[in-house]
Amino acid sequence: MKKVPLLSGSNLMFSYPGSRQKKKALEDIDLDIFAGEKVGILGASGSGKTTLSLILAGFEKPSSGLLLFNGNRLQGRKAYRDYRLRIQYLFQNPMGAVNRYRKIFEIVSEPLIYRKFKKEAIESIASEMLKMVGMDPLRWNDYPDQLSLGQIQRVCLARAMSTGPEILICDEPFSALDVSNRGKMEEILLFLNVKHGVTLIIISHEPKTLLHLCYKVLVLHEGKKVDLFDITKENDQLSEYTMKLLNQI
Amino acid sequence: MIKVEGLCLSVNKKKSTFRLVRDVNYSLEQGETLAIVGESGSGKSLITYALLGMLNHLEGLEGTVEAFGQKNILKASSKEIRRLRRNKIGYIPQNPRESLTPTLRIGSQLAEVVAAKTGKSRRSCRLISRNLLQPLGFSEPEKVLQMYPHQLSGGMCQRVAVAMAIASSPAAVVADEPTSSLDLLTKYEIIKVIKSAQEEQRFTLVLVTHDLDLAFKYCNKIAVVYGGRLFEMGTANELYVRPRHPYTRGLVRCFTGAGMANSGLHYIPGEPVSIYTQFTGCRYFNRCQMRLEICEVKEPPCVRTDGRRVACWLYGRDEGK
Repeated sequence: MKKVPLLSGSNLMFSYPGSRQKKKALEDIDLDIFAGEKVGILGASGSGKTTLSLILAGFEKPSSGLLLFNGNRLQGRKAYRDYRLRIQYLFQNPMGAVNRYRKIFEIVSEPLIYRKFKKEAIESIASEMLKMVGMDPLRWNDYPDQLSLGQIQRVCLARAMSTGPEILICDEPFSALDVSNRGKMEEILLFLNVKHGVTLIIISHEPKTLLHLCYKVLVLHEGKKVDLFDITKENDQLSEYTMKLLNQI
Repeated sequence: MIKVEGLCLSVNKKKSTFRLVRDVNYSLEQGETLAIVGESGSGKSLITYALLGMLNHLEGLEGTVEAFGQKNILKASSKEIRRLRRNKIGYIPQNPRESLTPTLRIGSQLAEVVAAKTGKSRRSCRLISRNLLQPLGFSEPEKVLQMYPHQLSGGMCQRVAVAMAIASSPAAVVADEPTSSLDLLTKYEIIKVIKSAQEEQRFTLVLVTHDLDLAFKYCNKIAVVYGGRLFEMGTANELYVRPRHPYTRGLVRCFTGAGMANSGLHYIPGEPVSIYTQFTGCRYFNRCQMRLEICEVKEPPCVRTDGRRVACWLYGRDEGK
C-alpha cells in the first residue's frame, strides 16, 4: 500500500494581496512530507521560505494549488481549525513571540489554558516541557527580559511542544543564536523528532545547519522550487544555484 | 587610537545594584578590526555603546574611553558627542530596515546624513550620495536613491546603512551584528563591502557578533564577553589555535566541532547566570569544567598570559592565594 504523506502540497502558488507588480511570492511548489521526517527549506532572503512555511502552518491560504493533510484537502474554516490544533510554529524572533509581562511558566501554560486543560494537568505538562528543553526550575518565575535569547527560544519551543503537535515548523530557529545555544537547540529538535516522533520542517538560510539536521532539503529561489534532494543519496544533478549555496559552507 | 580602561556600568533595580558591564579594558590601533563575541545578553552591545557616547546619561557609568582626541568620551558633553558622531565615528545598526525612516526616500535620508557630515548643499550631497552607493555593489544607485526602505531587500538596506556610516570617512566604525538577519550569500557580500571600505578609508572597525565564523575570518582581534565581563582578548589566530579561557575553549569547540560525536552537535552545558543575579565569584562558575574552589567566592583578575588578557583563576592563581 502506498504511504500517504502527512502533509502534501501540489502546485502551490501565492501572491500577496495588493502587490502592484502581481509578482508571485510562490510558484508551482510541490512537496510531500511524511510523518516523522525532518525537512529543510533552504533559500536566500526573499526566496519565499517564510511564505511557504506560513502556508504549511495554515496561517495563509494558497492563492491556488492543493494542500492535503493526511490525504484530506484543507478547505474551509473547520478543516483549518482542526489542522491548526495539530501543528505548531516556532517564530524567527523569539523576543517578539512572547509576552514580556508574563512569567516563563505562564507563557508555557498559555496554550493549555486556551485548550481548557485542568490546573493540575497544566502544571505538570508545563513543568515537563520546561525540563525537556533544559530550563532550570529556578528560572521558571523569571520574565523574558531576564533571559538570554537562546533561553527564550527554548521557552518558545516548550510552549509549542506543550500541546503535543504532530508537525513543528521552525522559522530560522538558529539565526539569533550563538554557537553554543545553536548546538543545544539542534539537539533538542533532534530529540523531539526521535523520541516524540514530531515531524520537523526547518526553514533556514544556512545550508550547514540543514545538512546537520534534515535529510530532505527543498531549495527555493525567487519563489520557485529549484531542487528537492535527499542528502543521504548521491546528488549529482543539483542546480547551479544549489551548488552555489552549498559551496558557502 | 581607542583606549578603554576600567569600563563599568551598574544599574539600580529593586533597591539592589547590578553590574551589567565590569572592568572592561582594551585598546585598538588605527585600521584594526576587533570582534566582540559572546552570547545574547552578555553585554556586547553595551560595551560598544560606551564608545558611541550612548551611555553618558547613566549614573552608574565608570571608567575612561579615550579616543578620537577626546580624553574621556564618557564625560563628554552632548555637543562634543554630536561632533564625534558626525565626523569621527560611524554606526551600522543591527536591523537597518528599522533604523531607516520608512516614509522618506533613500536619497533624502542619505543626503541628510551627508549634509550633516559635510555641510554641503543639497544638490552636491545628492551627488556624493550617489557616489557613496556606487562602490557598495548597487548597479543602479540613481534608482535606489528614489526608493523607499520597504522596496529594498534586507541586504540592500544594510548596504545603505554602511554608506551612511562611512559617509564622513570616519576614524572608526561600530557594526552591531551587521549580518545577523541576512542570508549566507548576502552576509558575505555585506562583510566584504565593509572590509573593502575599511581598506580604502583605513578606519578601525568594531564588529559586535555572535558569529564566530565572521570573527575568525575577518578580524585581527577578538574579545570574548560573558556576563558583562571581558573573559579573553587576543588575536583571532591565537584564540582559534590556543584558546585559554574555559569559555573560549567551549565556544571554539562548538564552532570547530573538535572532539565531538558524529552528530555534529556540541554546546556548553548549563545556563548562563542572569545578569540580575547577585554573584560574588566568576559568572561562568556553574558551567565551567575546570573550576576551582576560589572561582565561587572571588571574581578572577584579568591577567596577561601568552601575550593576551584572560580573566580566569587558572592563570591568576598566585594572586588568589
